[in-house]
Amino acid sequence: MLAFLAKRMLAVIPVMAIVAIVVFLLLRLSPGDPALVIAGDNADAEAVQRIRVALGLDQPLVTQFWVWLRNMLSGDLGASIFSKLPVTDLILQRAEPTLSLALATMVFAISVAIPLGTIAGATAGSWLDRSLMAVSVVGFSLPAFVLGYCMIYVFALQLGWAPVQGFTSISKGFLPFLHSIALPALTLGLAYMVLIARITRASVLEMMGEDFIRTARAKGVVERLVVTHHALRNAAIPILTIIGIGVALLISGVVVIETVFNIPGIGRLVVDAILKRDYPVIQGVILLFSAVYVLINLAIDVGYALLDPRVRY
Amino acid sequence: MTLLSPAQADEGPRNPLLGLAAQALRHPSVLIGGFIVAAIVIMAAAAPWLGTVDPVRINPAMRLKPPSDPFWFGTDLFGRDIYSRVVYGARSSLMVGVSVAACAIVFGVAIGLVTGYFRGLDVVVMRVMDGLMAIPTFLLAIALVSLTRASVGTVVVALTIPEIPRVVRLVRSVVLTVREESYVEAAISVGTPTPLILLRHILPSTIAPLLVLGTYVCAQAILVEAALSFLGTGLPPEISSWGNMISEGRTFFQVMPRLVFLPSLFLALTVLGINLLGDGLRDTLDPRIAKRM
Repeated sequence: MLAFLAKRMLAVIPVMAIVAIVVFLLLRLSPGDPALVIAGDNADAEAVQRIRVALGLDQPLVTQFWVWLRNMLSGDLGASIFSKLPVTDLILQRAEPTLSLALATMVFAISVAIPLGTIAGATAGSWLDRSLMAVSVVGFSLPAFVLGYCMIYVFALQLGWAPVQGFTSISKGFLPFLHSIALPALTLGLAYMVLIARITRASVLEMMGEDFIRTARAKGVVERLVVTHHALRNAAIPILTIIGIGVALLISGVVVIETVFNIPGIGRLVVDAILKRDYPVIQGVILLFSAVYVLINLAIDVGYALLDPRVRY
Repeated sequence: MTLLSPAQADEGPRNPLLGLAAQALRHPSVLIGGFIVAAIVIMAAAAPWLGTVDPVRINPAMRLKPPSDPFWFGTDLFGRDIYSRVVYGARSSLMVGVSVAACAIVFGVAIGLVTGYFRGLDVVVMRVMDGLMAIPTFLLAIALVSLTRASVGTVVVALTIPEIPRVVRLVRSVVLTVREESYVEAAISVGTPTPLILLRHILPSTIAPLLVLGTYVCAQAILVEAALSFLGTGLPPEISSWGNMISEGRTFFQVMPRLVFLPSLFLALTVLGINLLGDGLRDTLDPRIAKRM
């Protein structure tokens, strides 16, 4: 058990190292020269050279990488080329809306998807099952921003139930906060919900054919308990796994949804940075999001190794 | 014949390809998806003959007109004909989707075949692929696009790179199973050169699952291109693409939702059609494919 945990945790190191190298190379090998950008159009060659030395851009690539990596590991993500503020501060300032949106989305998606997927799996072929499968194809095909505009049109413009755009901080009260986060979370959550529901359906359906289900029924367990206690519990591993893998979907979605709903979060930060080519900010956000993704999946792997006695490596 | 893995080819005495095609066409997803895709492809190919005008002609006197006789879907904020732009937009989306799927499959197959077959390479390459897959696809794509000036080429490259690891993993998993088959061992034992084994005995087994994965990559690429263009980092604004139209229309969304909804409708329909086709092909070609994806 300990060997498995150690092995799983160590496996994160090469993955993150590759991520770091890719992110570093990506932006360092770009054709634009950051020193020229900072210096502006009217700067002379000497001023550009000064900035280049100050940023360490005159060093060999490998040296630059080690300096950069050391800074990253000590929590220094560098400073924005334009606002001169540290990237960590910029991210922290924008963390609340993004974190709220992501959490609200996960709560919504998981709490709807698991019951829905379980019922569909236990009653495979029923109208509920068929409509879930139909909705899921549509859910995968509808781009998040298109769904976002449909939501705004129906719930904000026509019915007036929700604000059109913007974000209200939780410090201004829980209800106004929930009110502002509801539409974006529903929008972002649909694809994630559909993904989890599909996997839940498939793994519950697979469990329903197992011998222990027949045994449970034979000894007179109520059908509802057969499904929840016997089928769903044993189907937990693929469901947890897809919840972890689906986080990638959430991260990509956040970037687009924050633009649609005009939410000042980390997604908006990175889009603005990309439009202005503010490389340190882009690097910082990609590293952060990748690390979050890798760590969530590590936590899930470790979690079910601890909880499920069948997982032994 | 090339469509089939040797195991399937042994099963039927009649031409198995015809049988499989007939079986696929009976699947409702293949029928509906194929119909939608065919309609969009015909629309894109026949764009100049479908009553369209020049989709980029600016006409300031006719800004933001409602749908009427010469402008079936109305005009946008530069006075361009929305109907023509939507029809021509199909060309951009399909071109990006098909190019990305083709490039990702070519590179993915090359890397996957070699790494699956040579165990030493496998460890190193798969770690790199794991690392690439740990970066959220969409972020990697926008970071790649932001490196250079927006053009169709850079968008295709930026969308292809994040998709390659998925193809590599699929091809590798097929190679790992097939290389243990007795016909591959037989080929090795009679001294067939390795490149020939890879191409003649192993590659055919990857075709069916790749066909399915290819449809998903194509749909995903169309979605991501639209999202990139929507954020202003995708195709250059002078190209008529659905993402660009939604991006330009969003400022006027509250007064004229049509500017956003019309291109969105075609975008969603296209992706839906391709996804349905992929689901149907997956179910009919080989039920085992689903387990590998």
